[in-house]
Amino acid sequence: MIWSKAEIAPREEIEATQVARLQETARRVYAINPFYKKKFDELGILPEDIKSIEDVRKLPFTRKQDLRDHYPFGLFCVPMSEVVRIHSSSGTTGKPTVVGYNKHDMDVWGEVMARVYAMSGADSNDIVHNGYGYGLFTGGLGFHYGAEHVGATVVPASGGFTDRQLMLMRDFGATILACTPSFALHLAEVAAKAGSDFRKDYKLKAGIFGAEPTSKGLKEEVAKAWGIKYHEVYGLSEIIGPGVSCSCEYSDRLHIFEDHFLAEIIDPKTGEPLPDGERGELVITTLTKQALPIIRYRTGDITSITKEPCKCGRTHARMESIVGRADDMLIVNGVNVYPSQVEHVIANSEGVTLNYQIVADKKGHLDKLEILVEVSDDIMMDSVGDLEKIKKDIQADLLNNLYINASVKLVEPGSIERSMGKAVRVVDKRR
Amino acid sequence: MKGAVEQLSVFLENRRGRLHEVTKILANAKVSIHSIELVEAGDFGILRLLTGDITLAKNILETNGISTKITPVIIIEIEDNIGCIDRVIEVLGEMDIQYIYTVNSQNIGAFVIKVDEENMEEAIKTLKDNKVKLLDEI
Repeated sequence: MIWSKAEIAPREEIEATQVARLQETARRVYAINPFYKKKFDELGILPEDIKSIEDVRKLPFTRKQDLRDHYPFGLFCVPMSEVVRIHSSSGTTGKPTVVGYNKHDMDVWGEVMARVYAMSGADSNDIVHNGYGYGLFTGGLGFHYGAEHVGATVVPASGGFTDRQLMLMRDFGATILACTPSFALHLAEVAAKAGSDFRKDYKLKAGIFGAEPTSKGLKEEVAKAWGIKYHEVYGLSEIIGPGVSCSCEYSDRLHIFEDHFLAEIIDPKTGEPLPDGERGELVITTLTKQALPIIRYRTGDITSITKEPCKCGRTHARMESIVGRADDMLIVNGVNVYPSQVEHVIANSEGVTLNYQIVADKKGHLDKLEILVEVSDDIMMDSVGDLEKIKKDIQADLLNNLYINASVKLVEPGSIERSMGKAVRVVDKRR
Repeated sequence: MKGAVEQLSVFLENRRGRLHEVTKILANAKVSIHSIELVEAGDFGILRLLTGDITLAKNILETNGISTKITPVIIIEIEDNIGCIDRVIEVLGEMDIQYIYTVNSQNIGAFVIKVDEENMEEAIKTLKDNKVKLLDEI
């Protein structure tokens, strides 16, 4: 079901809305917030200079560090008397980033999350089991108010207490599961202890999953484990929380709610815009947020965008599921390589574990890439030919899927350097 | 499987001292090595061992984070006359022989032969039918 007419508006109408709202947002931040005024002035740009969508490129970027530097409320653009909600990141690396919402923003959030639910087939007859954590994290309350917005019954389960959650899901007859994909899989694994036909005790028909990087394999596993349709949601607290984009029933790409968020793809190294279909860093400008409008936020997430029509009828552009983080990107002989892409190839290979290390080095003037992969404990083979085949297959997959010429080296289990229990993924000896 | 002998294959990275680490672990655990064969393939190799207590050998190596696999192989006694190896190979006919290596003990010579696991049973039977002498150990 399509929640809002805005989602099926013709392209010209979407862009006209975006330009008008971008102009309004630029005017507001310039007039109200000294941080933005200074940045605009440094670039010699005025809000009036925004005349088309492309003009967004004239505006300055905003980074996570800017939010930290103005901790806690320095980038807010409404008086605190108007702010009705605060959320915050965990702040594991320094000061947390704090975000605020006024009543209008809460309506926007409810609206985009209602679209997410509608996209997943939910309406007022549904029972939503919300396993996202409630608290400062935007997941719990974002999904909560969205469910109320569509009139569904929401069970605010939050995280943890797996057995209890399963009991509630069974007894209340939850039809929609909202949680992280890893928790969904954990729930299924525990539920399956009751027997392989455990699904008959549950009424789930769809799940809305997000908040963590997810491989295609994991998505398929979750969908299969529960026998439900997998909808992926994307969002980040700096922009609004969950509800920036979501995948519909026809595509694994995520429709971006373009009337509220202006998305660009840029080259993370140069900041230059990239054409549709090309992978780069996702940059988002909020178009309707009031308490904390954000201009050209560098999400650090790598994806691509397409405006090709979707079978569902929505005209909003679609982004790929996040393929990696800009910070992790390596450039090898001019080709952008993300560790997550390499991981994806390795995950689909037999006989090896997910403990790998990408080593970039120079050979003469050229870059060379070596990928160390630990063989698995249990499928260790007795034949050199079989082991050579594993190696060659991974090399061929890397070449065919990522266009990189890497040599693969099979190493012993546990031999790759660990940091905090996780294998060190990238070693760049060129630096 | 009757007639087959368990062989321990060990995955080894090709780096200085690694082989010694493996033999040391086995020696410390008092595991006797009856035969040793190292196959190298560039940056890694496979060490194939016939040992005393193979379960102990496998466990102790795995405890030390070394990847191993137990594979059934056939040990055939080599008679000291011309054409004896030819006869065995002929008996196995079309079967896919994956590798062969020779081993010696005080009194006898033998060779260890590995065929596709699907064909293992058939290989053993064929060899026995043709009066080829199979050994339980070396």
